[in-house]
Parts: sequence; structure tokens; C-alpha cells
Amino acid sequence: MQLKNILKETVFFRVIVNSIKEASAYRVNHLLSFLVILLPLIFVLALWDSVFTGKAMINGYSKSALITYYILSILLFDILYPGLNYNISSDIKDGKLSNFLIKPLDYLSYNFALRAGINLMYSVSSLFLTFIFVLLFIDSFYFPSFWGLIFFFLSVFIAFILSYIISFTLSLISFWTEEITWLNVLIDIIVPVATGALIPVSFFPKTFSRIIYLSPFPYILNFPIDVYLSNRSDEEILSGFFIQILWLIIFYLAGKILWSYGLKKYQACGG
Amino acid sequence: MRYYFSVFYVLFQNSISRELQFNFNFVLQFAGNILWLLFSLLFFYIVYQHTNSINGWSIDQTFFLVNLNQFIIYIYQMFFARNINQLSEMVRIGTLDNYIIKPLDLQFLISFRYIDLRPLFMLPLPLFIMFYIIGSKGYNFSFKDSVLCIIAVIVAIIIRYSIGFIIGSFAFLFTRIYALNALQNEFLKYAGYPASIFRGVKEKIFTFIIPVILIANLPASFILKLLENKEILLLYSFFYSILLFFLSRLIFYKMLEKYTSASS
Repeated sequence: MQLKNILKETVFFRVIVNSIKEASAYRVNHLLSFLVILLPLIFVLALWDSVFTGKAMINGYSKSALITYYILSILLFDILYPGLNYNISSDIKDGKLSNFLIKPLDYLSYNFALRAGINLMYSVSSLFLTFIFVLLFIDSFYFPSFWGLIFFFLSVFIAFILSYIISFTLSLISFWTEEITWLNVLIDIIVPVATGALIPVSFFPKTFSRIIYLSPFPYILNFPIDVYLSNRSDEEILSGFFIQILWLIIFYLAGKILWSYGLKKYQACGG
Repeated sequence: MRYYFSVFYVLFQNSISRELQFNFNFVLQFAGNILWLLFSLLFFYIVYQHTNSINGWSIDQTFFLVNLNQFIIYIYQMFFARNINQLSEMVRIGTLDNYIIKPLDLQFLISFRYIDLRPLFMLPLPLFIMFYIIGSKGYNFSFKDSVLCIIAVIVAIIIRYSIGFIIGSFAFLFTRIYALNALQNEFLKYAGYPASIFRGVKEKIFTFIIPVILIANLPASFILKLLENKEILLLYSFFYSILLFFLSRLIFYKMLEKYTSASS
């Protein structure tokens, strides 16, 4: 069998393709997302523009670096968002998980394929948006070195898996409690701050940023963008990658443990 | 008119009895909202570590603005946010039928259907911070200024409501309008940025066309003495709010013709 056919036969591939098709059905949403992204960008950039008056650098960021930081952060935020995965919690709550348990499918990889598919679609529109934003802010946009770009993509790739594993692990709490809205409210408020989407983490008061750096969140968004901006030394980049992978392993193991304990609690309600 | 007031009173009573059941989500929403306000203030605190003024706005003035904007958000959440957000769901499932048959103005009934009393508990914090800033920094303003400020807040809420309702009405065309809802939420969030960050064309656009500056900056200006031509802007804001309100009615009833009553 040719490689192409083998690929087509894998469930993983099929799920990705299906979820791309589903995501592409809401084109109006994609179009409007452009405005949802543009409006905050105009405000944040205008604000920093006035703060930068008469200054070359703020906290190690030049004006062009900070503008690029916000453009990338807004474009990557949805793709790398480590919030709860409603599919997983509703599968557990409504007993739909049973359909997967009887199939020769790994639930973790199945959901990953689902998310990868949706985000591949969004990434295409994101690339298109990036192109427009680069044109709009061409004077201030920072272009990295070749290796900066390669490491950036690598760190985004790891961040994407890390953020998925965090979502997966957190969503497994549904095995123990039906009501998880509270967790989502908390995540929605903490994540924009702790990932550095609101402002680069190094801008926070020292103690506050130290606490944030003890969590995996800055390695999801702040770190990849700093890699793009070549804002960190080689050692810092290396240790950043190391911490990303460390968190990945921690959450993967935690997820596996929660999953095996959770299955024992699982009652297939309504299933 | 009296009939509408009595209906509003009954809806209000219904909401109270529903809300009085204590629930955990309320405590969390409360904590979340407070945290959100504190993070917004922290953001501007950090910004002001690197500058003394944002084109003329001091840190106190910006803090006042952020809190006033949050106050307006709470008022909007209290009366309209949930009702307008649920419009698309009502169209999708077909439960709008229950409201169409009532002998009342449909837009009124949908808009005030459910009054969310939870934001009421969050209102004291931004109010307290605003009064604290006024008191400690000694801002002088006349009785007339405070009346104009309150009028500007009411007008801002009408603008906000009308925009929300226009966007909500598009539910008849597309049942999934997440992006549209996200857009109007963003719109309100950035109303708490000082208008002084904009100059020239952008300032005109965000005042007269996309009225972000009219929402919180204009009312705050009466207390903080900031924007020039405040009175004229308020007059413009007033007429713009009336225009948007009637536009919301026009669009809603036009879109209603497309309603197919999905469930039956």
C-alpha cells in the first residue's frame, strides 16, 4: 500500500480532515474574527505608542518588538488557549464517552486530532490575518532571523501540545464533579494574565512575575513570542524549551493518572 | 406606559425570587469580576510605571475611567446582556414563539425578560474606587457637571444596548454569532482606555462612527474635565443613541420576518 493510502486509512487523519471541514463551515465567523482581533490591536498599540513617546526601550522591549509581541499574541491566543475542553467534559457528563471506550481508539489522541484539525483551519485564517497585519504595521513589525523563526515554530508546536494536554487534564475533573463552570471562569481570568497575553510577564512586579513563572502558562504564549523576538539569551531559550517539555511530561502523567482513576468513577450516565 | 411599568415590575419580582437561591456560581462570578477589575487596574498601573501621563491623562484619571467603564458594564449585564445573548438560542430552538404571542411590544419583552441581579452586588466596588479618587485627589465639579455625567452614562447605556440588540437581531440570519458577540464584548472592554491615545482620524472614527469614546470617556470627562467640547459631544451622543435605538427596532422587526419557528 502506498504511504498516501496508509495515511488516509488512519483514524487520526480522518478526524483531522473532518474537523477542518466543520470549522470551515463558519466562514462568516472567520471573517468577523478579523474585526475581533483588529479592534483590541488598534487600542493596545495606540496605548503603547503614547507610552513609548521619547523612549527607545521599555523593560527590554523596543517599540517594534512590543508591537510585534501584541500582534503575535492576539493571533496565537485562541490556538494556544489552555481552557477547558467542553467536548471532553460533555462526553463524560452525558455518558457519550462509552462510545469511544468500546472503539479501538485512544481518547487522548482522538481529541488531539479534533483540536489539531480545528486549529489548522484557524491557522490558515491566522496566517492570512498575519499577512494583513504585517502590511498594516509594516513599519513597526519585527522580522526575525532564520533560526529565530525555526525555534519560534518549534516552541509554538510544543506550546500547542502542552496547552492541549493541560486542557485535557483539567477537563477530566468532570469525572468527579458535574459543575465545572467555576473552573472555566477562573481559567478565563487567569490565563490572559499568566500567559502574557495582557502584557509580557516580565512587566509585572518582580514577586508577581516570579509566581507566574512557576506555572506552565508563560511557556504557552510569552515564551514562544520572546523566542521570535530573539529577546532571550541562548541559555534562556534552551532552558525555556526544557521547562516546556517538563510541563508537558508532568501534565501528560497527571492526565494519564486522572484518566485511569476517572474511568473507575465513570458511570456512563445517559449512555 | 403604565402597563409597561407594571410588566417591568412583575419581571423584576420574578428575577429576585430566582436570584435569592444562593448558588456557588454567584460567589465565583463575584470573585471573578473583582479579580478582572483588579487585573485591569494592574495593567494600567504597570503602564504608568513607564510614563507619567498618557497624552495628558494621569493614573488617577485612568483608574477613574476604568472603574466608570466597569460600572457601565455591570449595568448593561444587569438588564440586557443575558437577554440579548439568549436571543440567538431562542431563535434556534423556537422558544421565541412564547413571546411573540404576548400582547406586548416584543423588543421590550425580550430586552427586559430577565433582570440579572448579580451585578448589583459588584457595583459598590467601582463606585467606591471612583468616589475615593474624587475625594482624595480633590476633583472639583459642579452639580451641573454631575448631572451631565449621569445623563452621559444613561445615553452610553442606550448606545450599548442598541448596538447589542442590533447584533443580537442578526441571530435570525445566522444562528451562530459567537464572533459578533465577541466583537461587542471587545468593544465594551476597550471603552475603558483613555481617549487621548488617539489623535486625528482615529479619534474621530472612535468617537463619531464606532462610538467607543462616547461610552465611558465622555461621562468621565464631566468629572475629570478632560475632553474638549463635552457638551456638544453629549448632544451628539444623545442623538446618536436615539438613531441607534430606532435602527435596532427597524432591524429587529425586519429580521423577525425571517423567523421560521424552528421547533413547531
